[in-house]
Amino acid sequence: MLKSTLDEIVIVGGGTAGWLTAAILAKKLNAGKPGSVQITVIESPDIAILGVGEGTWPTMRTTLQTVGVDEGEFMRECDATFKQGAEFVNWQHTPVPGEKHSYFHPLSAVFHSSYDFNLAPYWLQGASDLPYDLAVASQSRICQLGLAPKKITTAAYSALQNYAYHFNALKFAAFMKKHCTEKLSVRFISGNVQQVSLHPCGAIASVSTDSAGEIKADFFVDCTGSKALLLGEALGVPWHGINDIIFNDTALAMQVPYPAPDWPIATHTIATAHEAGWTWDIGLHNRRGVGYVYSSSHSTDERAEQILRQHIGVQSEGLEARKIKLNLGYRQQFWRKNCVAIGMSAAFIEPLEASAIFLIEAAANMLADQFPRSSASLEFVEKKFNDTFKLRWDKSIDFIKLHYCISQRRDTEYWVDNCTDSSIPQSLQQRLAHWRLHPPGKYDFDYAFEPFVLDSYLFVLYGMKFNTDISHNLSSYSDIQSAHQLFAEIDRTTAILQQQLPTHRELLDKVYQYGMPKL
Amino acid sequence: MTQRIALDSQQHQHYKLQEDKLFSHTKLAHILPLEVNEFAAAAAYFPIVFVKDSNTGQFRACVMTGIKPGQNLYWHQAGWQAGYTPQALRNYPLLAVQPDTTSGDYVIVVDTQSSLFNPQSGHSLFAAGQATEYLQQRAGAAIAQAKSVLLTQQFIQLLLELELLVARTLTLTPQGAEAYDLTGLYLIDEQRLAELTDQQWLSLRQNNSLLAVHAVLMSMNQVSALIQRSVL
Amino acid sequence: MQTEAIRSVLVVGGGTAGWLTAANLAQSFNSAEPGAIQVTLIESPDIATIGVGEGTWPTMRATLQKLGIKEEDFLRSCNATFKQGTKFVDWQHSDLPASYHHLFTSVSDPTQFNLAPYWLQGRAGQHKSYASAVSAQGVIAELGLAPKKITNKAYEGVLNYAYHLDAGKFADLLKNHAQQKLGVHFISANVLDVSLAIDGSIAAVITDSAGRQQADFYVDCTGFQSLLLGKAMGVGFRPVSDTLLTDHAVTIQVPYPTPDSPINACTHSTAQAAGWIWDIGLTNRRGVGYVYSSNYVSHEQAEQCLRRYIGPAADTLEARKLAMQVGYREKFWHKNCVAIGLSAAFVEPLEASAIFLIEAAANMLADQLPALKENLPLAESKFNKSFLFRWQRTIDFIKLHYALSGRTEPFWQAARAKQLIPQSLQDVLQSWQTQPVSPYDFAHVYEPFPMESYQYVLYGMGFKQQLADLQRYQQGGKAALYFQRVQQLTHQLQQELPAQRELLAKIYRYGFSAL
Repeated sequence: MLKSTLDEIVIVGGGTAGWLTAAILAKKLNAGKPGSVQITVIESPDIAILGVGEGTWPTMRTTLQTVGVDEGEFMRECDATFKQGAEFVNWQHTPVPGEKHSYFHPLSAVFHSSYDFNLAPYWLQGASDLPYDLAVASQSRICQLGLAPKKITTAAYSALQNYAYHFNALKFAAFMKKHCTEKLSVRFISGNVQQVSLHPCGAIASVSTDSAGEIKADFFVDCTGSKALLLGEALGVPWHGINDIIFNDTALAMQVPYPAPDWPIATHTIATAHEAGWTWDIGLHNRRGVGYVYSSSHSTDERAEQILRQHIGVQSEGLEARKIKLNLGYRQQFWRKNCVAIGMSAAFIEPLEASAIFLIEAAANMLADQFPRSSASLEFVEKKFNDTFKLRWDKSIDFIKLHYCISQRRDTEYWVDNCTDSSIPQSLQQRLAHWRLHPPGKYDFDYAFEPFVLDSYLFVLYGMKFNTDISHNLSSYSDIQSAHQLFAEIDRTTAILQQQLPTHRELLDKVYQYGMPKL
Repeated sequence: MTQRIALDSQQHQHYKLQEDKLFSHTKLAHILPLEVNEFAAAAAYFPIVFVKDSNTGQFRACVMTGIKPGQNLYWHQAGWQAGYTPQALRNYPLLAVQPDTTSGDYVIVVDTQSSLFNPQSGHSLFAAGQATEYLQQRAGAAIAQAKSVLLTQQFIQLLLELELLVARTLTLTPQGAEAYDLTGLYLIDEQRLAELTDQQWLSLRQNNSLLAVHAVLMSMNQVSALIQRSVL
Repeated sequence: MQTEAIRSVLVVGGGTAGWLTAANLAQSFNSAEPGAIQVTLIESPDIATIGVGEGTWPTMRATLQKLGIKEEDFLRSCNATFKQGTKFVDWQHSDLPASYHHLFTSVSDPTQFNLAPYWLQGRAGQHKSYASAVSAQGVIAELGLAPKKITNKAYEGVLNYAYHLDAGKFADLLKNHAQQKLGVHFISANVLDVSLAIDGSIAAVITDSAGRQQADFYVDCTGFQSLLLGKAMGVGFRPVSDTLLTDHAVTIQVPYPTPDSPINACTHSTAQAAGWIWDIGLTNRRGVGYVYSSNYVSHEQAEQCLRRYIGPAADTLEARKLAMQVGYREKFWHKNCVAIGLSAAFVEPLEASAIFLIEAAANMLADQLPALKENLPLAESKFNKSFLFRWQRTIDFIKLHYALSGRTEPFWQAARAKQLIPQSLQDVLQSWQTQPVSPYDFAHVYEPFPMESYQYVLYGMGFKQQLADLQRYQQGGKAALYFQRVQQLTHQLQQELPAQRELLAKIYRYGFSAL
């Protein structure tokens, strides 16, 4: 039987998911204050934490600010850099050897939102000479030039161009752990969970650890990674695989030092398509993180390592590659009774578009905002949480799949399979059919917690040269004058920003030295 | 552009230092640095504001000497036009820096671009490989300034913690001229000050900062004086 | 497989629904330009249009602006006035007078910073009502003041506002504007028959004086008759009379005693034994009506009740009775036809949802009408999903007003019987006993009634909420500042804002400045 009020929360598992969840819960619920909840994190001293992705979303700024982290200190401690989007190289068609093509998915289309005035139909009519990414967003150009998203005088967490971070996930977990235990009254237990005990009603009663005995709580958060000790093993919630849609089930990662200490740092993730997957290239302050995510049914591990080393070039010599198996899919329920799974215990797609950490934040925020102090509300919140995250994961899967299924590449079975209708979710197929004749619009995104919004879809669709034929309905897009004005305004902004913004490394060096002004 | 190097008894044994009571190097400066121990004295003559250092992003305290960039209304060929001269002006072109904050030792650096520093005329700096009494006295003043820079930083830190600084755009309307906005200035928010909890008030008092806070608030009266001066 | 393009739209039926839809479509397609999609409207010269409600939502401002209608022209030609919300009188108890406001302006957007937990803890003052704690608009509306000044731009307010309007005149304004400025073709004729194609889609409508009219797409705005979607295509109607009990209305138009009588700045809705009375102030008259359930009161009694409410002024005035079909079509869009207005759905006018949902449907149709016929099925399924959701949520919200009432008459006891409350509403109500109302309860972009509307009604009706976790609300200082600002604004706006009639008189004379 559960108590009538839920006062003790135990988070099993540290890592990015565990500590980020702990921080958000502790801050929003005022943990440690009299009458408030008590939050405990149990972390194994033995299990190495798997750093899920090193890229975040801009939401991370609000999250860190909310939990009271100093931005300059965070960046310094986590080797963090500014991320302004992603560049997709060689995704659109099979590259001619020695050549490359690419497009950007920047984080902001600054001075306009497609929800107010959609430039896409005007761009499709040829109202701008530039490719879509450069026509509608200054940030694509800023990324090309390797400039920072802000100045040293810009206040912490404020931006001239929207930004997220690249960081060292291991250091981030350690940093959040320190912040949680020192500033947010989170209790920490080092131990291995050996057994999970249930109440007769099926809710979790306690977990037994090797070092601290039995630990009871009213509510449990499962951050144990793909093992899902609580929700999966103890409560038996099954896993829903998505290998029929997303094929990249293996990753090979490498840490590549910069050739010189003043080497330029990319301010965006570079995602390069290959014969059986894609490589990520993420610039941290002290090194690059490079890796190849691929389909093990379309490539051997040896061939994959060969691709990765070729991609990195001579610098890969002497470096070791680490292999990671990825479990693609999600739990059929994320929340059952008094237990919720957050992180890889809940779901994982693949690192494209950095959805992993973003969805951890979203889940932790919802858990904190909706936390049922009264156990009478548990059932209602459970249903709401499960409904919304099922939708968010399905929508994320659609968006990831979009990158593959509109490609013209057919150089390997991998790309042929990716573009086969049977591998494309029905919801995405329907929308693509619609978009063949109508530019995407706000009615295609009618959920308040849509993980990927209209702008993101437009960048990928038209970056990939997706063809939307609007000749049937040209008269509906006759405000050419406003479109020209907007395009011109974006060009002007790009020119001004080019003059004002420091290079990415220049700003980082200053931030590491001086920190960032509070306002 | 300033270019600073450390004073060296060998390298600079023949160099001299002139004094410029007009402070000509500030002729085109509309803001000049000020340290917290000077606030009370300066408040009677200049508005005291906070601006971000464009190089480090960190806040500095400053006096406003003009209402637009390139204008110093206190500079005059007949002499400095205020009853107070900020110490940074008096110490120029010397500056004391602490290369290693743990040892506490100061090194005196000089702006080599300044014509006040030259081999021809002025007070000698070194004699027989030793600092002259003149240099010792000037160096002492520069070190005193460097120490007050630390105090100023602590004071600003406290203002930030108490969320007392706010960005303000000063809309200036000189007589007979178009109004325009001066941006990038930060002031102490009087309303926030009034809303401080007792505990926060106490922290201001314990840090000996109340006088400085009030000096900044009082100095706002000098904005109109500054505008007046601009039309004379 | 059809691969034909959709080049023409035929709107059958005028009225608010028909003309608002035709105007919106023509504006979106630029129908006045050569080569654009053509919009035609057929209206019967004989059928009088039913004025569906005379209150709008604030969305109407954007709609009129989009159509290129000047606000002053609209106000003048429709006897329109500014509406700042609804005052609900006597909804809580049968014997204890009480009222509350559902307003359009709040000092803080509750999805960003929710003041309710602080108000519940008495931080706004011990006896302050929720509405007066979070908004100055209640006091302003009570004083009959306008939401703006003559110096404000057209369509911009100091406070958020909607309109009260004469629906017949509004349809006339749109009819002129749509033909003259937007390129809508108008045919005056009676529809005799609708002919279907072999696949069940509409092939043509047969008229008495304009022959056979064909189009690629049809909009059914024929009111309760639903000639196209209902009669011809056989799409069923799903009544919701078990959830919403009212089925009739009796209305009277009441002239003002003197030309300068003050005009109410919000809708008044006063609970009665078997329903409720609306009272709406236009410039030249009031529109008053009793919405009731004929199972609990006779038509005669209802009319007497309405006359008592109006007082002696009603003695010489004529009353008009209307039967209402409460419910919605099983589908709103079927093949090449969509129903908008009464032909699609109707619920009692308690929250002025009728015109608001016409606007929403017309906007979505304008944006989503596919270029090719072969793409109709996707648009159809999206539209139906969206509007089924919107109507169900509208029904929930209206039911909320009844579910929380403590009135004792048989009608009211029946109206709040638990088994008649939709499950979705029961669930949230149970949750809100201990949890705050939250943005997570409103997860769709096209939620017809936002979180703040629910809060006005919940707390106005005296809903008992005992938050389970009070420790998390540590931003009392910030909340206090908001509450203070409301008091300041309330005081300041009382001095600044003109009376509703005074402002309207000025607008009639000078119009608004464009900037």
